Amino acid sequence: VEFSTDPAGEMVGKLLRSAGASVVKIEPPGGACSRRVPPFVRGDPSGESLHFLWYNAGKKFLTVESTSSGHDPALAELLAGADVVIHSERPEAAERRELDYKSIRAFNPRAIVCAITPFGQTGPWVHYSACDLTALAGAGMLLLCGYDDLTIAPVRPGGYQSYHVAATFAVNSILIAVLHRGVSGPGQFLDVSVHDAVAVSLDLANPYWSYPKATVHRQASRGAAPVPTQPAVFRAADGRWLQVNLMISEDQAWRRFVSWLRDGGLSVDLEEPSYEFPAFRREHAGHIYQILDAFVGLHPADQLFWTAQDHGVPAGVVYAPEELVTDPHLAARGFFAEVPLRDGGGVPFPKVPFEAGVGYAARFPHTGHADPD
Amino acid sequence: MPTTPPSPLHTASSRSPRPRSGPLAGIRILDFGWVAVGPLATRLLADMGAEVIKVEHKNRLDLTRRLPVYKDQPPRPFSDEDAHPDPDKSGLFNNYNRNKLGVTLDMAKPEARAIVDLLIARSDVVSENFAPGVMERWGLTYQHMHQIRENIIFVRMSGFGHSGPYRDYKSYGPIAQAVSGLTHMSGLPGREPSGIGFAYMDNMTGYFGTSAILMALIHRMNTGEGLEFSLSGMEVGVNLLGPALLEAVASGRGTRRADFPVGNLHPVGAASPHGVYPCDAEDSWCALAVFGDEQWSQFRVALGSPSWAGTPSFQTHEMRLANHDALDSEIESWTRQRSPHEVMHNLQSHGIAAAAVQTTAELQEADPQLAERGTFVELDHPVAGSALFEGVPVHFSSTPPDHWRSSPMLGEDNTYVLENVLGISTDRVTELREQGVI
Repeated sequence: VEFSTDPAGEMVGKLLRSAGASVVKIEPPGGACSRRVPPFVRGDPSGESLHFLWYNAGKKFLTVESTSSGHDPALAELLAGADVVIHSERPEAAERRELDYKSIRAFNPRAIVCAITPFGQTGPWVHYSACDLTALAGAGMLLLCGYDDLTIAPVRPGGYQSYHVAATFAVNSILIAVLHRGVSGPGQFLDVSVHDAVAVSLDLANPYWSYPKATVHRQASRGAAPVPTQPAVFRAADGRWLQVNLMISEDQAWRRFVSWLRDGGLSVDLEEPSYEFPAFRREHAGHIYQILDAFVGLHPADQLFWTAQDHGVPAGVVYAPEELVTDPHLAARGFFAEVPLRDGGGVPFPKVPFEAGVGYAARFPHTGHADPD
Repeated sequence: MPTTPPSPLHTASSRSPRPRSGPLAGIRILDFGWVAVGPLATRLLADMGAEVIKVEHKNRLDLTRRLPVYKDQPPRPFSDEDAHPDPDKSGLFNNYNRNKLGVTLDMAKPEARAIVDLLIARSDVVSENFAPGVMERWGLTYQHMHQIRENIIFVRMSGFGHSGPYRDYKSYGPIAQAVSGLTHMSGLPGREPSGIGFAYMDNMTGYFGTSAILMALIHRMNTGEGLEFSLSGMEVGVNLLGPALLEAVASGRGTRRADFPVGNLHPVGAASPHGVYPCDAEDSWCALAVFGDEQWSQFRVALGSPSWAGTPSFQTHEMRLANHDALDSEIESWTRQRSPHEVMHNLQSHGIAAAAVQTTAELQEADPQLAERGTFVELDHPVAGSALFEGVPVHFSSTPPDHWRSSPMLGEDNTYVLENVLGISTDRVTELREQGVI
């Protein structure tokens, strides 16, 4: 049973729904505020919200006069039998709405109650306001993202990532609690903090401080590092960008890279014996990257992606989202399914990234339409 | 291979495996995960009490064991690794593999594969994130495991999944970010994408891998059946794009246009100002967002009601959106006089979402919120040294995590796992060691 109306909480219900759970979203008369968040189908603010569809497709919807727990007989019945309750309230508001663990537990001791909030239920910042941008900033992720020129402000990654990180922790915690509870055990309260979840998900940045006390600096489209590293995106002949993970210190990776360039007709001097030594390659990294840049500029991005990978070179097109629906790999995997829109049209919707079963015959059920039930 | 002798502070017994507590105590995971995705998939599970046995190839070190993130040496780029690194010294490996047991096997030897079979028979889950084909070369298919243990769970993670034309393609976090659309979504218009400045998809694919393992365990609890699960990093990334994906495909406008991406502007124009502003020191910034007219009034008060804020060009939300460049420059003149935290606390006291753009130093050593919640956890390590670890960001009311040990040194638990878990005799273990099997 989901009370959240923000992307973090709604993503929790979405992921559990994708795994086969029955998720009921509780809404006030007139619908959850997230139904009115842009973007809208055809840009029409009176129409269907694609934001709401993204986070809520496939859930069931119950409209109640009061979204406080226990104030509505249908809601009370639902909560009494619920495995999991998800909300996004801070402590006082949760108590006011009788969504705090004590209130829920009183009539459903099996319930696992998960509160997913910007800073959790405790601590000096518990009442601070946040949005995705400020959450990424406060938790250290934003400083890692942007351009090499550090006079340009860090740039927010697209797509509400702070909420998504926290939602995965919430889902995993809920699953752990469900497993621990087993068939008949007691529930518990899970206090998920967006700030904490992002702060523990920073790849090299945290160990670089924990160990050599180094601050890493942001670099465009590649890992923030304590010292500058070579570029990783290159503009292809069709204007699109190609991401290349070139590991010039590794002999096997180097040989694959040179064979890719050779077959593309531009290995220049890179086949000379001196380049067989990693130290020499590191010394002449600038030259190597210049050749790579020129090579990429000669071919379209798709062709570079496929030929690089055929040679064992890790590379990928920097896809625009709309290009994903025609990608041959995703198409062959049946990754997108048409989800109907309320006005009769449809929109390709990604399925969950899990394939289950021997031979991966079946995915978990994916999404359905987001109409009120 | 040079190794540092264990510190006298760490006796063998203080690192000896012990029965685990936590909600997942009693669950055993045989973990072939390496580099980042696989180890991150089992990190939370190990923290919460599962017995994770990390299987490593003794002659082919996990990449993160080689990365030079060392306490006693100046920082270097991670590509600048030593020719013969100390496998127990890397802080990155330590951060990903704490609370796990470590065994080393030479998988080229049949005796090692026999040991793996014995481990499968005693495990609930097998997880891996090798390039597709590696497990098959060792004969470690789901069918093989299923014959050994009928209800075994096998969770596989790879960059592109285990079917389809790209199944053998190589991927690292940045590649998964590129091909899933995430990189394109981030940046300033008219420039190369700025993307996400770390291997975000390593974390997120790993976390989805955690979900897969847990879902399969719940499925087994409910049905008694095991399960094989395959996870695609590319598809995890697409699932993280958010509503912008639907807009891009439904609107027909696409995103390869001059005004996309939008940098730090609000993605759907719900807030203005909405940006990252320079503060009083080099590379110091504060992020802030003002949603609607009521918050704008509070924002003006927080700034001391400057005259510019009352001018007609900033009167309504729509006008502030339209004039965001002028607005940003006025705000910048105010933030430049202040520290990021001063801006943050001032605005927060007026109910405005604002945050200092914090460094990892600040997260670990100065953030009172993270400190009070105990989010970073200190653990010692005989070689890597004592350090703060990325802990569990969730408070469980009745089942706290069980942090019992930092990461295993290479082969540290060979004897324990073979003798105590598998019941192999001490003499035979000695023999296996002499034969180079372990």
